[in-house]
Amino acid sequence: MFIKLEKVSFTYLPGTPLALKALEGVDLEIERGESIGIVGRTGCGKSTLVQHFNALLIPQSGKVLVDGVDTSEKGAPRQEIRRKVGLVFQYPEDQFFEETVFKEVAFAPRNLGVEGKTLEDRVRWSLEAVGLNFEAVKDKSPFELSGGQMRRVAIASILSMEPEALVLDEPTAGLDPEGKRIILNQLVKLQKERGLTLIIVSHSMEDLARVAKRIVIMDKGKIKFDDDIRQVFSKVEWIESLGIFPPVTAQVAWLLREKGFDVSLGVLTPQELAEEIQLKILERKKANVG
Amino acid sequence: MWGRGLVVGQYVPLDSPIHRLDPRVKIVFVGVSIIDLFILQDWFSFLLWGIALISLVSLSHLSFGYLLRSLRPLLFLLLLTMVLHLFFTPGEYIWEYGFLHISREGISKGFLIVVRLCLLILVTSLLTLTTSPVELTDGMEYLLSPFKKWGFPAHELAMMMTIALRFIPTLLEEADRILKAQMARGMNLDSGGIIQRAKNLIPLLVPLFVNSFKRADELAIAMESRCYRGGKGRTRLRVLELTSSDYYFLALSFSFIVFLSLRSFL
Repeated sequence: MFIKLEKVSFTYLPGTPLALKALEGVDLEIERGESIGIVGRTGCGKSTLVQHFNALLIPQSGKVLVDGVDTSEKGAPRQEIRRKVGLVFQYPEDQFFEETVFKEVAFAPRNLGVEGKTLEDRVRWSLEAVGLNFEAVKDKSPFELSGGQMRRVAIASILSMEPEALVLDEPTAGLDPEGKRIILNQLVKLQKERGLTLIIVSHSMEDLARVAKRIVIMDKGKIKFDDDIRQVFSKVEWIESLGIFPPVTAQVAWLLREKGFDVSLGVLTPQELAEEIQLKILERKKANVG
Repeated sequence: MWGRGLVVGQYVPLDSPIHRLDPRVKIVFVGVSIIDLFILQDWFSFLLWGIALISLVSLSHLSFGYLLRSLRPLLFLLLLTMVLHLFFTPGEYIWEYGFLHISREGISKGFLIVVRLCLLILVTSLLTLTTSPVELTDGMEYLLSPFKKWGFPAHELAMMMTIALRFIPTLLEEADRILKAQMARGMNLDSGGIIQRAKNLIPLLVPLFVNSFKRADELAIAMESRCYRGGKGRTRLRVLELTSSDYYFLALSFSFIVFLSLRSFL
């Protein structure tokens, strides 16, 4: 078990009239190499949850184990935990401060004591892992890049720590479709080729349908559902009551089913849906001929 | 998410008679109270003030513990005042050790001043705890507007204060977010000597400034696109109007303060 949460609760400003319960008795287990989507309404505790994964927040009650280490223990190696579980915040380009892309991406490994040739190799690898050309961008200012490129540099600046898990909070928010596609493709590639554990918080079910295998639905600080992505998206009506709308493909499948076509629910991609419909058309044709 | 719970000036949004009072009335009351507390010299007046304060707090639905928290940041100052008065007031010495001595006058004066300071802090805290920053600046603007005749920029000042107050939680939230983001990138704030520590702040401060300038630009454009052009001829959404409870409060509190001041003069 890579990351394990046991009955984790967290309240902001506890003991004041402004106390805000963000997490309540959350249990969660994440294996190495998994790709998980975390969804739920704004304010349901997703961001609070992911900050527990790398010891930025320590649970007020309950326990978080990262690779067997309890994050709340005194003298727990917090920096090592944060290296293992890389967290990319929402709008991560807001954290840029260096003059060049190279320095920006090198910030995290430098903090961990990586230097010289190894450092350069790391930076080169991370920039290429997000689909950027190292030579072309390394001396540019991070502020003069396009939105999509900025986002990719920000992700690279976490990848350069060589994390074992990558947690991304809304990685595609505010990007154009092309920027989105590039980032998602690179994430899938990283997960497949390097066995990187992916945890993605997102409001876009279309994005998750491309990347995630498992979906965790949160509501009011609790986990309401935790299952295989196809299972989740086949329960269209039920998850809509939690403010989550399955990808258009699953909704179309649902509507077709209502109209008497026996398509399987929980189709994720347009290709799958097209194949499913084609199959049904052929079946009907055959039946008509017969 | 974090900023949602955080309000500047520790304003606690409750519904109570004190919260509903007109901000102008509260500001004037606090101003006059401060003057009164400086005039008063005797224990009996402070006792009466204490009772008045306790009844105001219970009217405001705030918990006493929460109000007393506002004393905490000034605890050192209070202790220092106490100590200075204890040891450096001449008079009838009741304890001596080397050059240190405590006089009877010192004890009573020290306590009196500390109690006075506590009352001052608590009265002003009661204002900021029960009045939202927006109401507060609105009230200020009204009270300062007579001085416009002599070119005093009352509206501009109030607008600046409103904007500043409005963005403090945003800025704090942002600072928290960036700090966490840099910590996630392995930043260690408290390592190295004093110069290294100052340098450690760069990854926090640069993004904070960049984003603030961006935000200021956006705000200016948003205000201009809503045709904001200063205070002249502007009407308001919330017009402050004195209600009967405001008059009652004014009458009561002023007779209380006038009574106390007269007592100490006569």
